[in-house]
Amino acid sequence: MSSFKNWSDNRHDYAREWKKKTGGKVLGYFCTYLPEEILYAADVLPVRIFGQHGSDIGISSAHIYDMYCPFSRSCLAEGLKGKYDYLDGVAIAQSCMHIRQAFWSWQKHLPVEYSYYIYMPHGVQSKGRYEYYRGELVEFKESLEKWLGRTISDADLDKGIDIVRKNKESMRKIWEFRKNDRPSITGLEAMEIVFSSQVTDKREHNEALEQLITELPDRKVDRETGTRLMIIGSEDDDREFTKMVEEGLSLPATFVIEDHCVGSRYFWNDFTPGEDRLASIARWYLDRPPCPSKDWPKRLRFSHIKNLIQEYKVEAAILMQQKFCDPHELDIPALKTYLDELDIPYYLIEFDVLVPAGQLKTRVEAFLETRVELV
Amino acid sequence: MTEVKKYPEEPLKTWNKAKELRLKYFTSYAKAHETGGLRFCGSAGSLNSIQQAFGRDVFILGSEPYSAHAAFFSDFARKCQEACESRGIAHDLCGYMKNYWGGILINQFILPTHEIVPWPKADVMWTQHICCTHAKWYQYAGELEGGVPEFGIDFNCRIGHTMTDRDIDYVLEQVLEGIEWVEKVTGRKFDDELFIEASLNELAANSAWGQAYEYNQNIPAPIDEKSLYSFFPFNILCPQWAETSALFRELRDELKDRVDRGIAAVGNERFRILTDGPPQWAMLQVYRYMEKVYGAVTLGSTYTAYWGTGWDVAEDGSLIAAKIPTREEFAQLNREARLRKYIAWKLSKQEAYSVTFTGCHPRKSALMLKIMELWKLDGAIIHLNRGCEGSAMGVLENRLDIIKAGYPVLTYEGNMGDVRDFDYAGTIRKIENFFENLGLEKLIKGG
Ligand code: SF4
Ligand code: SF4
Repeated sequence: MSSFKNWSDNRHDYAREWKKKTGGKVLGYFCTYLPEEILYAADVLPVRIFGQHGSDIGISSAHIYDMYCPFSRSCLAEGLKGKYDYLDGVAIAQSCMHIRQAFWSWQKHLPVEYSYYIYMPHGVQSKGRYEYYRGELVEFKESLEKWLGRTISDADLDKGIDIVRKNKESMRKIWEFRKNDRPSITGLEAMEIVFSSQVTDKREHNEALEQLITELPDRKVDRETGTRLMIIGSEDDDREFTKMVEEGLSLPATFVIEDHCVGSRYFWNDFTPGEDRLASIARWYLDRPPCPSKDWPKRLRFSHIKNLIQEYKVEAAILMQQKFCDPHELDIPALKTYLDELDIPYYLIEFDVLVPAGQLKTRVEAFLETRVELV
Repeated sequence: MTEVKKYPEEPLKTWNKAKELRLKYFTSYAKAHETGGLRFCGSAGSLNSIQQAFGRDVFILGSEPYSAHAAFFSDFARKCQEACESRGIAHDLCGYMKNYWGGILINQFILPTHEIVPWPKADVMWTQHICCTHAKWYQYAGELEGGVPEFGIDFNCRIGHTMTDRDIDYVLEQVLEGIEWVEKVTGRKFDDELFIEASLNELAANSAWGQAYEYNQNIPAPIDEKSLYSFFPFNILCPQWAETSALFRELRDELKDRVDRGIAAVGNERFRILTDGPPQWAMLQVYRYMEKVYGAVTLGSTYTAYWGTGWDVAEDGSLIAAKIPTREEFAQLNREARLRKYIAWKLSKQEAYSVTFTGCHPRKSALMLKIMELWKLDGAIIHLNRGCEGSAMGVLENRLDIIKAGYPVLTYEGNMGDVRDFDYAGTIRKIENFFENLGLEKLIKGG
């Protein structure tokens, strides 16, 4: 379990080391809709670009207007500070406006060998989406081939699919243990598992996951579970806050599940293989539990959240609202009504990379005390 | 005091016609049910002719311009914004959307005459989706209104000059599905003849707008952008109406005549300005102040140049109002081919969507600079718009690019839909400092 934490703590060192060791190229990506399978097929290491909690983001203020979410501004700030100087390329699978802006500013001010924008559909329920995204992946693959000066064969794609698929399957297996009355892993550990999956070589990550799967049945968790909480949120890699809730409150609580992209949304659905590999990859991404920005016209996300609540016996939800995150804010009013109907108490937290988690301690405690029936 | 060249001024003759059309537009939507008509609602410019093809009595509300119009009435807009906030809707969400959602919540819809009528519930939500808000806006609006069905068309593909056949196919597939969907939910049939008529009107209006717009390349400019704001929304509200193309042709001819006779929008014109995105609607007096006190006139933007309007790029790089297909060219095609041609015209010739939303601000900066060059502009004023994540995209990078090209740039903060986010006195101070730094003295002392 400590590997996941170490990787999460030292992601830049890890990537630098990886480069030295393998002589390979590293590509930074901006949204989890990016098809990592194709990068593994091309022997390129994909690492998700994250911001840094507690680190000043003023350096990005000449580039991104401050009504955009702190996460997008923090990502760019890390780049401008030189923290990602090891990247050989950057890419984005089109997602929300804020992170697109971070990509464009990155491309302009931090030139790297390779830069690519994939027009990932927003209409993940729209007719023609599969064919369209498949076409985008064909072009993405071709551009990678041009960059790398090599062909990416079907066998390569099978290899890439295999690596990523195994990773996601293993995390799904591990998440089963969170359903236990005494969950075998904490919310913080779960967050570190997913976070580290997005910044390390998944082959190495897979080994650690397999090891964990063998250990979990006998793992003794030396803590009280307390209230079973769910995080429903915008992008959320706030480990400090998660830790504070699980370890620092006077009332015990455990995050047993979450719906966001540094959590279950990243790996939830099954991969259906097919002869046309790129079509299968496109389908996998389009059929994921949707990011709020892509969840229209029907609300598919809410029934998914309901299933998670039931399967993981959730007692209360924390709505982690990244400040200015329009996609998530747009869902909040209807989500609150939905949770009311399910009789799930919730607490909305607007967070910011710059706000220390400690400031939220009393508010979360008060919520647990007043809204959740404690047994 | 600085010597200032004085040009003759005259009021715009077509102005009143724009006012009449605006009243007709909003009133006919509000009253659609009185005559058995249908209300379609969605983001303005969501391929209007396709919607119109379901009947002459289909009335389409482009809800951003409605919300901009509501923002003019700042007390009314404030009520809408506050109604949203008391329901837990985030303050920083789209300022237009909150004027719209708020209208539903307080059951009030405002007409250009200031008359307030009960909120006219939509029958169908039909919208494009580009910024992260669009389709989500109508999703929740439909829920608030008790379950209005929604159809969204994803425009998040390449649009503008980089649009490929594959992108057009993606939009076309969705449109074809949308037509079937509307037929199912309304029980009406898509009428090809009506589509041909509407789309030819629409493209003619969009093209005439471009032709009118070009006249502002002249010195003095025959029309200021503040006045253009009263006309250009028709490009996305009701371009499919014959009245709109007629109005734009009349405006074009009037501007030509003004240019021929040297008539200026602002007699004291001496500093020509590019703007960006929707302004602080309730505070257009800021522009009036700049005109009166500094002879500084706002003349164009990618916003008024490109929203709904198509441009062709000439060999020398200049922008020319796009050519439109003839009736014969349209009529001889089958439905699918005709829709394809229409979509290609609407989406590949106008860059506003692509440069603003899919976020290629390098391209947007290039277009801004092109307009500055062709329209002979001296500087730019950029609205840092807290009310629109769409038009805030890339604006600071645009600012840097324009400065790099040697032009002065002023930014001011506001919110197109919500005057509470705007500091009038602070903005005036910024304007004064800006012009002082440029060495432009006041024309009116103490102004
Ligand atoms: S989805 Fe929300 S949190 Fe994530 S980048 Fe976009 S605005 Fe920021
Ligand atoms: S582009 Fe701006 S006005 Fe339009 S829906 Fe998005 S945020 Fe609102």
